[in-house]
Amino acid sequence: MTTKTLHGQEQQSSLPSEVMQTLALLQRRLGHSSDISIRKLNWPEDSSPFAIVCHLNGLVDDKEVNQMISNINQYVIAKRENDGMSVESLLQEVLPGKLKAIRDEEAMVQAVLDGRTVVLIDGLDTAMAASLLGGERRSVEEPTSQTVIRGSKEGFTEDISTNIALIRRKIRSADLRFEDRIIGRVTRTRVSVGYIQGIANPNVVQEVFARLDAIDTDSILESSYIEEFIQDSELTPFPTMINTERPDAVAGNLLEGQVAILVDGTPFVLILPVTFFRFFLSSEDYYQRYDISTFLRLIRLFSFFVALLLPSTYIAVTTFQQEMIPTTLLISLAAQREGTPLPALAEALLMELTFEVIREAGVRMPRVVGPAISIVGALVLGQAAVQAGLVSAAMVIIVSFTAIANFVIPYFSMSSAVRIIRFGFMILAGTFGLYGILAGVIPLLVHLVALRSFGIPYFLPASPLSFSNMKDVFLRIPWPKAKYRPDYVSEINKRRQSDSSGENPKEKLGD
Amino acid sequence: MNRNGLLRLLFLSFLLLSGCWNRTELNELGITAATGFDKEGKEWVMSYQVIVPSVMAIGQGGAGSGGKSKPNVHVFTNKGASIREAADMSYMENARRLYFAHTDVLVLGIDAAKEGIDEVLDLYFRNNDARETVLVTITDGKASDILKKLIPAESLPGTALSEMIRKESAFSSRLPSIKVYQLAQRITSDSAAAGVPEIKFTGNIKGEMESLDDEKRTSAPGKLVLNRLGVFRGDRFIGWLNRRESFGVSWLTDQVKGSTIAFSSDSKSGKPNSIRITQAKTKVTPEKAGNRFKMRIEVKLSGALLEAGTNQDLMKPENIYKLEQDLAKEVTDIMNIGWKASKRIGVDLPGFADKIHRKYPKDWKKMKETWTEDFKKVELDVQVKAKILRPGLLKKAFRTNQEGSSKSGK
Repeated sequence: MTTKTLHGQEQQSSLPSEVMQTLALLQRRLGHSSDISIRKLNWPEDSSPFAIVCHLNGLVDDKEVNQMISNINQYVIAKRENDGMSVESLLQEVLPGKLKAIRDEEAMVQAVLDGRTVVLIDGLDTAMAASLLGGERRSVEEPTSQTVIRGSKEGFTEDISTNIALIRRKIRSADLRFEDRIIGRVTRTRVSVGYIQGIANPNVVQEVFARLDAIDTDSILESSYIEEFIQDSELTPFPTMINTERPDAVAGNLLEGQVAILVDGTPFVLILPVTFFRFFLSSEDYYQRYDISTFLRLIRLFSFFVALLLPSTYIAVTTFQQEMIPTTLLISLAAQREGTPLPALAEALLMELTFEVIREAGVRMPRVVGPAISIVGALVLGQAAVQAGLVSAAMVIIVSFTAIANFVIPYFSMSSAVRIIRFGFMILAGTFGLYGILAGVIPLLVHLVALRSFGIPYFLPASPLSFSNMKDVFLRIPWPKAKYRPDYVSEINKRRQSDSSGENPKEKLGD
Repeated sequence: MNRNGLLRLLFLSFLLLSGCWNRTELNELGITAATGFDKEGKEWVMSYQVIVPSVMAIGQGGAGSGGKSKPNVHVFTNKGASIREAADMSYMENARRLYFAHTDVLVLGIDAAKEGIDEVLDLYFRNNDARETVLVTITDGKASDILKKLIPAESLPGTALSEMIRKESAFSSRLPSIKVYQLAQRITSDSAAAGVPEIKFTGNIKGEMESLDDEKRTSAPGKLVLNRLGVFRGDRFIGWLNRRESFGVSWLTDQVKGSTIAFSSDSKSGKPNSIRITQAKTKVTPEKAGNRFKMRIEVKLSGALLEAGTNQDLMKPENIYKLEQDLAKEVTDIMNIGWKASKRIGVDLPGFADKIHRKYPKDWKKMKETWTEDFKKVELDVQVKAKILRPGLLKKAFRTNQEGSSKSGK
């Protein structure tokens, strides 16, 4: 038997028309896994099945499946008399639009695994699959990793369809496109690439698909898998993609011409290409007044330098360049160091490591013992260590301020990079002093300047210097003045607003 | 690959392990607040006031520093053939590495100053741990004695000493401060002259103000005071100028930053006025008059009236103008006193030589040799423009108000 597919090609069905044979095929492939539900619909007379409904437990909406079963019952009983059962009429009459014909074994097995409900009718060599997805999913909640005071409180969930809908709700444009790939030989994870046609750079989109298609792995469990597969360079502590839980951040970035990669099973969506300074912008910057946003951006950059260089500068200055410290400060630092057993470098490394341990413990521990950690961390390790003369009080201040400054960086992946590099700088400072710090900063800058994210220089707009892109990096200019998109991502369609946008109302008020 | 990795590791360890050698922890440093230079015969005697941070911390932490039983500083004195050898001798009695980068002030003993301080200057310019911005003072006695004195109410005597000099320089300008590099500049200039403020201990008992017990009184029996100006010709000390003479030199050399001057106006009351000078500028231009040189000295100064001795109504511009004239005369007198004192000592303290050299280089070549005598023949043409910006809140002197009210009462 031949039927016409969507593409108009003739396709031969490879499935048997005997329903029990098909079921045997299915069971051979799926085994007797306990989560597979097989429901036989029997003829009332001889209790032989006329249809079999097969799906995975927990992935389908049971109500809808029951509704479909009763539809099938009605259909079969109605057609039994005149024996006019056909695939076409079935697709039309039982759940129109939701059923799809399947003609080979592989597709049938996959349909079950995807969570679809497969219907086998006795006498037809075509299986049908209905997408009646359901089951327990986490609902849309406030993002936990990136909180804001003003702005949307929705966060992505683990369900990719929900996530796409969340983005679509913000951008109701025909040009917003999502294209899917199934990646992972075992996990068969749905990965969706979102971009706005006409804004996103087509070369970047093409490159993203090329890199995604080159992935041949057994599993994709989180977007970080994808990130590591498609990033430009592995030998860097710096992230070349942003991950975010916030649909509004994704929408904003899509409108600037970036590409989003959504992965089923994780609320973290990748955004690319990105530049270094992007990691210091929060989506809240655009919801607050531009003056305070600008100020906060400068604070974040300052915090970056503090988190990166404060402990090392302290070590360098107190062990090598003591002449740089004002005399009174030097005396009080020297007084604190009287009687402390460890050299400044060892002291700093010890305290930083202690902090990292406390931090890791804070993330991993059960929430019930949370207060215990803070008591031990703050009192025992902080105050008691100083009183016991193990570390100097100044060092505790330095380490604490460094830690707090580290949390100011809006993206966790960037603050992790800083955490790692900091240790390198501390060792350099402890061995060479300020000279050592400079000897570390210069290669770091060289590395940053050489880095690329999907063909875009990572250190834009600082290097190569581009003043037209500076408007939304250190400063945030008010929206009516932001007439153009940053042109490094979107080479086509740079204009955001008309020249007169936001002008008229003010003139009228002035009369 | 394996060998490559080993090489890299080796290289990295060479880099990181060798770097630590000149590391000094803060608790290994003997931070000196002040240094003193004396000479005994051919030998240099070096004294340094080392800060004791642990004692300082007690004073900071506790509410009352009364419980403190040790002084904040400790003074070491060592002898040696050269200055740094003398400093090196300190390791015989001191557990810490001497650290000079935070020294604020150096004190020259009179013996060392008389024999020449070129070695001291050489030391300060040659080494990177000794700063050229250290303030220079001189004492008519031993520098080591000055360093041992405590300054009441101040935690660090060395720092207090340098602060004293700075404050004096900014608010009184009678004994202008001088730093090592300035001293070097001046004694190597054409005039080869420099003035260094003198520090003097007023007490006369030996060992006074060297123990915390002496600090327990409300007024110390002896104090460190800035007394006179020690004058150097070249690197040698040659004499003293008193405060008024030194003030004259300050005016001539444009070193007045702020000062309070008393000046008398009308002869009737005989009471002085005083003015707080907030701005002063001196411009010296040499003028050739035949074979001789005349220095035109233009001074512009302005300030606020602090006290009025005059009976005149100060709301009238002509009276203010009169006061300004008197003030200008006073400043002119001070300058002449300074110039006279310079001539007496025989040193071109105002630095006229450099001005002439710059404006008339050809003439300077001829007169260079005989300048030490010739400079005394230079005449001054002083023009002072004084401006009283604020006469204060009171119109006339208080005394005249009193007289007025008693008259009306009768």
